[in-house]
Amino acid sequence: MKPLLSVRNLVLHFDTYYGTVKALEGVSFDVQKEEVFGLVGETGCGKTVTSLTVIKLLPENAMIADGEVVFKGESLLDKSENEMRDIRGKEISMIFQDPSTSLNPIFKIKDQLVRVILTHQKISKQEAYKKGVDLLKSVGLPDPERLMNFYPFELSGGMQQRIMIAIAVSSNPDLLIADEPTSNLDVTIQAQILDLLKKCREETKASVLFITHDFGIVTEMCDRVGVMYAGNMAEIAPLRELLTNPLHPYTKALLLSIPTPSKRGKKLHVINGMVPDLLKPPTGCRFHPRCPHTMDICKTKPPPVTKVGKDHLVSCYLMENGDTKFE
Amino acid sequence: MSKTLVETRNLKKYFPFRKWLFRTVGYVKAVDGVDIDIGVKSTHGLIGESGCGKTTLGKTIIRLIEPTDGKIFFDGVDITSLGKKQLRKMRKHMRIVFQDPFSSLDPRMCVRDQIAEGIKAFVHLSREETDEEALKLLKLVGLKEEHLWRYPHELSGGQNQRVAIARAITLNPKFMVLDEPTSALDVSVQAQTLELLKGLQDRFNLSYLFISHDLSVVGYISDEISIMYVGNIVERVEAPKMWENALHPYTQFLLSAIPIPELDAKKEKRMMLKGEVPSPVNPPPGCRFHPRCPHATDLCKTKKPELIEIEHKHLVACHEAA
Repeated sequence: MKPLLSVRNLVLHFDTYYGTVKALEGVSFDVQKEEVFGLVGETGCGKTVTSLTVIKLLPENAMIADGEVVFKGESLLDKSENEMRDIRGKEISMIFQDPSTSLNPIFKIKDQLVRVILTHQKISKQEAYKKGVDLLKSVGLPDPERLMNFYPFELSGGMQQRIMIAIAVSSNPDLLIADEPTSNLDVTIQAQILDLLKKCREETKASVLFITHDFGIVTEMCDRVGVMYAGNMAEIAPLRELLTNPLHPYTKALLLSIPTPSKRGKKLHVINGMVPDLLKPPTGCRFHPRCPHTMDICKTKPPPVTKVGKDHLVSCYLMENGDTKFE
Repeated sequence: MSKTLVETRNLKKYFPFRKWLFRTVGYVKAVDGVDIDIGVKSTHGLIGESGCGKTTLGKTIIRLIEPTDGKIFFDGVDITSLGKKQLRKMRKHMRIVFQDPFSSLDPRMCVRDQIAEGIKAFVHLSREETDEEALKLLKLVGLKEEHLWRYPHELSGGQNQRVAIARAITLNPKFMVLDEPTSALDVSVQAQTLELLKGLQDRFNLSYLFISHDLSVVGYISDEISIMYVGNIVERVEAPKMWENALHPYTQFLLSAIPIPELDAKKEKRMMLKGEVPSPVNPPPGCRFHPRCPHATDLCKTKKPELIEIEHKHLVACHEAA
């Protein structure tokens, strides 16, 4: 089956005052139809930038040096801004991290919601309004008629995020990008929003590109997961495979460093050193200065992607010979 | 964990809430009658959603905020009524580390000065001795001599938090309030910081009040855990027991709400908590959790449940559970 979205060898640089930030260095992954693909990684590893490239909302100083983004068989990078405007919100929608800054503070909910519906669907204003009320009801907001007349600041973070989701699913998109949709919310509200996202996904049959730094949420939501490190895709595997049999040293270390109730009393694994400065990224494999298995070749040449098993991709020299038994 | 170091009895902090020129029209009941005991060399975790009063409680315990009512005992001494001078002496023993290291460190001071300031406030040392002491502390938290002359903007979040911890452990305190010390940090840096805190605890026999909204972190590091809901402690339990034997419905909800990165942890269907946290200005009467509680009875709507010991070291404030 052809993937819905396929990102190939994406290289992205930012021009800054201090020099060129090499934000992405050959990122490749696919999102299949009706699948939730998770992108996990620490701050600054390029998760959000990857998703912004897909929807082409990059800041002006970004330069796509290489690679391609293919969505439904068409290259998105060749599209003009006008063509992208038709795609955004209709075929690809995005839910951003902070709902209080992604909703416009000076417009009522109804203005923002109805405008999105009218932009992409040829229906009358009254119908769009009615559809908006239905959408608010479907995302579990009480008293939707009244809420339509509210301004974003009158709502709590959880309610704002529900409205963002309503806007995002208003035109039944094929791909929904969720960029840390719950990281500003409390756990109980987070649980509500995650449930809502699952429900919306089942109803709209959309694929989801789910970006998060929380492995707990990944376990909960995703079918397949890509682990990113400093602008590289370290490992891609189905969820169960990734958690039970992580192969990349970074994934292994990351999983061991998460405090969980069952690790009580044991020492947490500590990854030495720090995330590299992407102005001067390390040569070769970007993880090599922190990796316990560094070999000479790691320092000079970036590792190729090796396929292990059915659909487990690892970019590490340790895996090159298909040797899975290393500690 | 035999001896108690910090103890609060019926601690309250109400923030007056003014309208129409200085007339008090109500109170935000941020902390409303909290009893907490923290043993020597133990970590007491405090969990709650945002706005439940965790931070206010942490600050009130070391009297950074004056309590409205109730008593605080530190090492057997009632510090609620201490005067400024005596309180200053006690401050040596109780320190705090804040959530966001970028805003709790002075951006215009280099690391050495940040640490030296804490030393200077309590003891007179010569310049060289202060330098030496600062370097010693810096090495203790895993930083190097080269960091001594750096400014906060030149350091990463994790390094800044280390500086904040170094500043807090000057003069060997006995008790530290850690107010979400890792929530601004990445997973790998969080692990480094948690390990550092555990190491320091072993070395200096520190007691921690560890405030967080992250159950996994608190469950990992704490000996005992208090769960707070709108100004009240609803349950207090030993950490290992919490996962198997949570009794208060709110705790059960919290536990089922957090996603755990372990495949086997996906057991039953998640319980969903309806509605949102009530406002502490006009909290619901009776049990504050009753509007969201599935087991609420008429008694819950009128009478506030007391925190009662149900099993050894397991206290719950719930009519139904008791």
